[in-house]
Amino acid sequence: MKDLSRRQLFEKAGRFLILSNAAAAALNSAEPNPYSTADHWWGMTIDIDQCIGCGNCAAACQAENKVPEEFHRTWIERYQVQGDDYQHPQVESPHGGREGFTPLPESAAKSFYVPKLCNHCATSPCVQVCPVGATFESPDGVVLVDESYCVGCRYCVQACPYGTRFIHPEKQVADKCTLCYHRITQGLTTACAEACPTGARKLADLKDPKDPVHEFLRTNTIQVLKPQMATGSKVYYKNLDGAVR
Amino acid sequence: MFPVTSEHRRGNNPLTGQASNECDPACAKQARGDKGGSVPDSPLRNGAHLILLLAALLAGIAIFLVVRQAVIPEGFGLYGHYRAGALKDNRMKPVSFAGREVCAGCHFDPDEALRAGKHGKISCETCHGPQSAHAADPASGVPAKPNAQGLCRRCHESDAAKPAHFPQVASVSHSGGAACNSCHEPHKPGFAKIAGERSGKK
Repeated sequence: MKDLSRRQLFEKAGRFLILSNAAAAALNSAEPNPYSTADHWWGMTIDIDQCIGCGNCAAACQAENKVPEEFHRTWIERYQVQGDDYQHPQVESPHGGREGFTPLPESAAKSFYVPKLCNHCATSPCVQVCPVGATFESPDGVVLVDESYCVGCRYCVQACPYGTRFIHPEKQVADKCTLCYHRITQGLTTACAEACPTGARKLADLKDPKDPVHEFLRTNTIQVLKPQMATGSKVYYKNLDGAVR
Repeated sequence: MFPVTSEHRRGNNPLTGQASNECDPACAKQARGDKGGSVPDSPLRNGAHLILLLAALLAGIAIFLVVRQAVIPEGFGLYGHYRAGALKDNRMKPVSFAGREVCAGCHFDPDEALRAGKHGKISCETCHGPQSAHAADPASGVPAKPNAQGLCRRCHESDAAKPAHFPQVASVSHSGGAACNSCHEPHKPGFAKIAGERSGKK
């Protein structure tokens, strides 16, 4: 190495530069399709006619997101409407439906299951009331909580019209459905949709022109929860009964 | 209340007609000056007050900026009224459900059998539970077999609230409590295990 001529030095330096460039390019291409928040607008579709109340979604959510006992990021409600009294339905959700439901005998009442979760509203009441900016609507349409910044003041818990938020008993910060943000940003579906045996719940990317959500919204009777509150809910229910609150 | 008259403005008591001790600022200043005030009015003296005031204001702004810099976390406001790093924090959570594609990457046969049957659209982990740990290191442990009896009933037990088109049975009258998988093959539902006797009917 001591007798390195100028020519050799340039040769070696040139090789080094080319190789280091190649290595850098290889490292960059390690993530082939880096996730871009601008390309997505997430929501969910729920087909009431397909929900059998098995509770797999609620159980899967708990397993995926380490949701504490007796708290629910998603849950299933069983509605029973007696006669035509749709204004006073009987609603039950034992353990959020995680362990399923006791079978209901045939009766005159109308009965059905309604899975619920955060509606990932486009104009979220919870985001509007947060005094510190710890909860927010992400650029790709998911309402998230910044655990390290939340002060646990509970305004958002009170503001959510759907009751989807709670204070985590150990962390003492607001906790809610993240639409499995850690999964959907790497090409997986949500844990609840993954575990749903009938396809009643499906993750929807409203910015993807090939997503079946467009066909679903165009060809079915669609409703969101509490449309009168104009929250911009992005959880779309097919054939939702008017008794559902 | 009586109306304000010119008497008031001059500082005279309109009732007594005598000049009061109080008078307007201009008159007071004049009075001090007439009585030989020790400090004469100079523009510099007032300027010093202004400079002090300005310095206090600048110091206040500087303290505000320093405190603001220290209190507001990095990346706050980059995308909106929140900390930009919170997006990454939410993305970094661990995954428990590996997803069907990952399962099918090794377990070809059960996946193929499943796809051919009525349970074809059900993901492996719907019944077998979250398996990302097993997928990352298959040697770490073999997933436990699910309890077929409870698992089948969870979906297929008769329930008036379930949609009518969904296949349901009252398990007690259907099988008298016998295990579902003694007759049915969960990966290929129907009557696979007693094919000779009944498959013709289905």
